[in-house]
Amino acid sequence: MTRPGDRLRAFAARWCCDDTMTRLIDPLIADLQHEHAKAARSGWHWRSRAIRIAGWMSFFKVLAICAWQGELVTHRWTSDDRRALIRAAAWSVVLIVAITALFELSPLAWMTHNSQAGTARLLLYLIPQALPIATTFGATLGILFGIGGRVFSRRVAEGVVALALIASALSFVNLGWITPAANQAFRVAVAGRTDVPKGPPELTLGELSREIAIVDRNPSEAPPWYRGNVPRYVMDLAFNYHWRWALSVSPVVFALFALSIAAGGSLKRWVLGIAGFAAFLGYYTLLYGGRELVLSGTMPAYVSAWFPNAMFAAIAGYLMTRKSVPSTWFYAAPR
Amino acid sequence: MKPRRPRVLTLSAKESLILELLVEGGELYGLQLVGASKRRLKRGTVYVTLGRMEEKGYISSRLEDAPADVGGMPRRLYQPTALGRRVLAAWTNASTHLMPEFAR
Repeated sequence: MTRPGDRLRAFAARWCCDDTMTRLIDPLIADLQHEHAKAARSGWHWRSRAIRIAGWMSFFKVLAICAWQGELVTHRWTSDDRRALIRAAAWSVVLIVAITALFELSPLAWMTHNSQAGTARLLLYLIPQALPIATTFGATLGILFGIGGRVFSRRVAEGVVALALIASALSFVNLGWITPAANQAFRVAVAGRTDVPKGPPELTLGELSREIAIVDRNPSEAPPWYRGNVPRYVMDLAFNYHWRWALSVSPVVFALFALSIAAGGSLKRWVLGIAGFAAFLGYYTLLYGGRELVLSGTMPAYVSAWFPNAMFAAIAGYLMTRKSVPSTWFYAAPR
Repeated sequence: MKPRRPRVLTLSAKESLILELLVEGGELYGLQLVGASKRRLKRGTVYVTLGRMEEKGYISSRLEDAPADVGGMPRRLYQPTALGRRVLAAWTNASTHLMPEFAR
């Protein structure tokens, strides 16, 4: 039978060096197991569950501290592994910055044409909006350019996925709270007054959820300019809510997709770049095409928002299991 | 593990608390320290602090002798080293003398 903490320990063993395991992880797991067993023996089932949850939280806190202090396994990586991950990360950062800058060009042209005052501040407000798309696209191409065309180990793949998870978490915070605030600040600055009403893209995740509940309960609460078509307004809100969650997950989905097509090192990098670009276009066509279907009432918002992620995750899964994953992913790298 | 001694012996508030508890209580394991500290130590950070103190040579540790009947992994018990005791004594002495009269 698996004891509480055994899986956590196995997970940590993949990432932590022997010294960290002995000094930090093993004492934590041992204390968790003893405390849990004591509570279970006494028949305190709720307490034993609480101990388990507290143990998990401490475990991830310790792991985060180890990561912060650079005590994870990177020193056990081969120099090739390290170079591959740094290359992928560096390419991703450069491309994310470049794509964000590209997205800023069109509004910059508009502001210059209209002699808009405070251009720099307005462009700053638009950066959060551009970042999630730039992150997904930039990271995908970054992975493909950084490690594509070469054989790479499973550790590199895990490192890439870990970085994608961090990007996803940051994207979630950005899409949920920073982008709506920045969008509203942009509108207020352009309008030159503070009473600009918020539209769905300017509502935070919590506000969206509340607004959906309010308008569902009482359609007369919808903004006046939507009164003629309240169901469309509700669907727009619902789509905005679900696609922010879905877009937050897209860096991980696209990291897996990029790994699946880059694995094996048989394709040239420019071919991989074109494949990445085509995948990205496909993703956004599906996402925005899906939005129209949602607004016309043909498709539920969550299906439309999550379908592109599900499709690319399925493609990545298929490629990984059927053909592309190299044998180096299945034997442990030297410890 | 070979202890890594810092050139200047420093003692943070948490390290000082852990040393005090270990000097009073003898051998304790991580969660016992958290319990004895009355919430001043957190279970998420105590192991990192203990690991750092062991590196500095202030404490030593060993795995508990008999495997417990509960079937868990053996717990790690910590105790202060002679260096740790001396550092704590010096630190306590210094802080008592350097602290202004009204704050004692």
